[in-house]
Amino acid sequence: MTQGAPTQPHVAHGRPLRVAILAAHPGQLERATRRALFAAGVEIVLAMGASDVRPFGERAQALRDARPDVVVVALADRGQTDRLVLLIEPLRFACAAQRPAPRVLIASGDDGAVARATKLAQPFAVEAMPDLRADDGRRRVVTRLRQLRRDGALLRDGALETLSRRVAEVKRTAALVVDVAEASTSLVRAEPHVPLLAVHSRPLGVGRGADHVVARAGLERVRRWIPWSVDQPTLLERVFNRARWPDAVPTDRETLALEVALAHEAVAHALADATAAGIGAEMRDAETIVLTGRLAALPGPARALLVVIDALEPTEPASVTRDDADALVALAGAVASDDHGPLDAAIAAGLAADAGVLPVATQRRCLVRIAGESATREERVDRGALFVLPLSEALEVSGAGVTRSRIVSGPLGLVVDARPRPLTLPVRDAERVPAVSRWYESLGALVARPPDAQTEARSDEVEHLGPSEGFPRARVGRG
Amino acid sequence: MSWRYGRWTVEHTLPVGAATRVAAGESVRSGDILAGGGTVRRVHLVEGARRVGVAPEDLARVLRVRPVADVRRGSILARTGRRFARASTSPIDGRLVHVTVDGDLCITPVVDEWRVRSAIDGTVTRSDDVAVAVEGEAWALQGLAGYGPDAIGELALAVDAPTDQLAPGRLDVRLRDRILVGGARMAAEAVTRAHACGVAGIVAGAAPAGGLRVMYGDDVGASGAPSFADVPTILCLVGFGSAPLPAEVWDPLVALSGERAAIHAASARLFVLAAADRVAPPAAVPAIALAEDHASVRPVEDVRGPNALVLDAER
Repeated sequence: MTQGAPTQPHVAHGRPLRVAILAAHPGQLERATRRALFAAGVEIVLAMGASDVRPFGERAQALRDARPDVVVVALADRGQTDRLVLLIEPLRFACAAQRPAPRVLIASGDDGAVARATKLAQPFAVEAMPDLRADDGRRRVVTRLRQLRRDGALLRDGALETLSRRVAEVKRTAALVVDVAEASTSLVRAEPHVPLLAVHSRPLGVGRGADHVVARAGLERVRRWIPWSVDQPTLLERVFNRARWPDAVPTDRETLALEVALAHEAVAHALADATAAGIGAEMRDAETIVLTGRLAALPGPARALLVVIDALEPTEPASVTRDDADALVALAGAVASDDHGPLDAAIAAGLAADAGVLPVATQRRCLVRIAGESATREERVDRGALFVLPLSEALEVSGAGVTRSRIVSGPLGLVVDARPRPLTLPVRDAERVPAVSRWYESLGALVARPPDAQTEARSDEVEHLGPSEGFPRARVGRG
Repeated sequence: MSWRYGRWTVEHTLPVGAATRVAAGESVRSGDILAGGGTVRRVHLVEGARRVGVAPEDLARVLRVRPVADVRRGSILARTGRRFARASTSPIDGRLVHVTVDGDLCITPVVDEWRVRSAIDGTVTRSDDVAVAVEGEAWALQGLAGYGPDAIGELALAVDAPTDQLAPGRLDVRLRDRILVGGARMAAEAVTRAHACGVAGIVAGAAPAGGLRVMYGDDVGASGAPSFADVPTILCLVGFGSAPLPAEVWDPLVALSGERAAIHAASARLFVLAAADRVAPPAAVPAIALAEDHASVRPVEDVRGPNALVLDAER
């Protein structure tokens, strides 16, 4: 056996897998189904319920247009199979001749329901799975779907989950990995002795998936995060060109702002997917947040930080850190299941906090106590305030509207965020632009204007041009 | 985005409810009907196996009409017995389109008909309910994204230079059934006017993304939107916004104008049905670059920089 430098395996997104959900009954089972599919990292191209009002032909056409690789049918009991006929027959009509024919995964704890549904689903290849409301059922579906996605390389989803688990173990806290890539957005939460929660939303992303973000969120919701006026047609052109341009790099303020805006909505919709799967609240309360992928690679760490606090809206104090150049993700893909030593060492040595985030829930005004290693300070925080305190150390925070906890801040400082939740932005540009600009400015994330434009700008409008200039001095609200 | 003469397989996806199809192995010409059928919406579910007293799997044995076939009201669909006959009959004039697992029969009224035509000359290599594929030889130009139904017609120039924008004023009904070559940009006004004038389709460097939303709906994306609806057919060759065509793409378009052509939206390809020696083998396409603000795309000499893309023969 030869000893050499360990080679890191290639971590990739895998083959895209198009999945349609046929749900006989909405509710807990539907949420469990979505939870399993989001964890598996598949693209949900169609979700059709028995209460769908479309006639037979339109259902069939929707299924043909969707071209599913896999159809997931979740059944609580045999009684639901009678309603399943309304969904399975359009599938047989539309996709029986599809090449390759879709596989049908029937998930139920009732053997009678599986037997009846299997008969209904002929001539498709059927695989029976346990009830998706149970952990075992979800695990088996996730494993099966990932097998179908794998194309030789290690799946990035798995690497992110390993990273999240190891960060939670090493830091002994709840850890959330937020990954935004070209055409996928992931939220992975791990906590010692607690089952892992994962949402891998495809094809949402800031590259090839940019147009999908716009299609899903709406152009106006993307546009609202850009801290100046921009007309919709021009913005859409940028999004479409970006979506068809592999690995394009933002080279000016317009494109950088677009990438930040797309990242906002990609993370917000991944969180919405988590909420649809019944795990949205858990995603927001992690004490350590690790940013990876294109989000971590955004020029200026303050911009990535702003995306997280705007889109994720953390409910608990948290430390935010970035995985530079996806080094830890690659390492997480390389570790064997029983040898986490190198990854744990890298996390302990290299994963230092960039900033602390302190969400403050207050109706009017409150007093927040921040105890550091050297000094203790009290801050009066007004509702709506967003500002940064130049603290880069281990902190203990407490006060009304704040969950008492210990967090670590970093070079970007401690962000105190007392904006009302859910975050709402003014509709009119005349009100929206100043508000969003102030938020960017307060974190030092404002995108620099070209020199000629800067001279025309009001002197008080652009105070900070980048994160390299140290702590931003702006303070929004009356905090 | 490069010209190539070769053997291509063009897959024509069908809407649900195909009633007629050409058989595999048949020869077809561009524009020939490959399949036809009726739009399926509501279906009448008629008891079949239960009505005639056979197991669902035995229903095929006693069916008098097989899907897909037109039936008249009162037509016998399935029948068993002689002296004490049991029969299932159609309640409407319509079309038997599907038999369920439980042996029931789906009959739909015939409200409107659709037809799918071949984009190229060739031989049918696949023919089933989902798609008909045709294999044949043609000149082909790979584009970036196709929108609308497939279009078939004569290739014609509608601009004077590859940097020109397609002008609505140059479009009239004399260009009916043509596939027009625009220049750097085809605005929504020009495309909708062309559609109203009966133009089969338009090929240009780029289309404004906002105009695409107007024509194809708010959920339209950058990867195209093939459709069976009565909407314009366009093919974006290079990008969105504005994109002048490189000479290596433009010159063969000029040389091939007047030839039979087709836009296949699903594969985003322009096929020109001309002989292999009709134009000289085109030179390789130069690099193209995304503008700094990502709002347009242009050919470049200098391929340095993160957003310059050297095109290979496949793109």
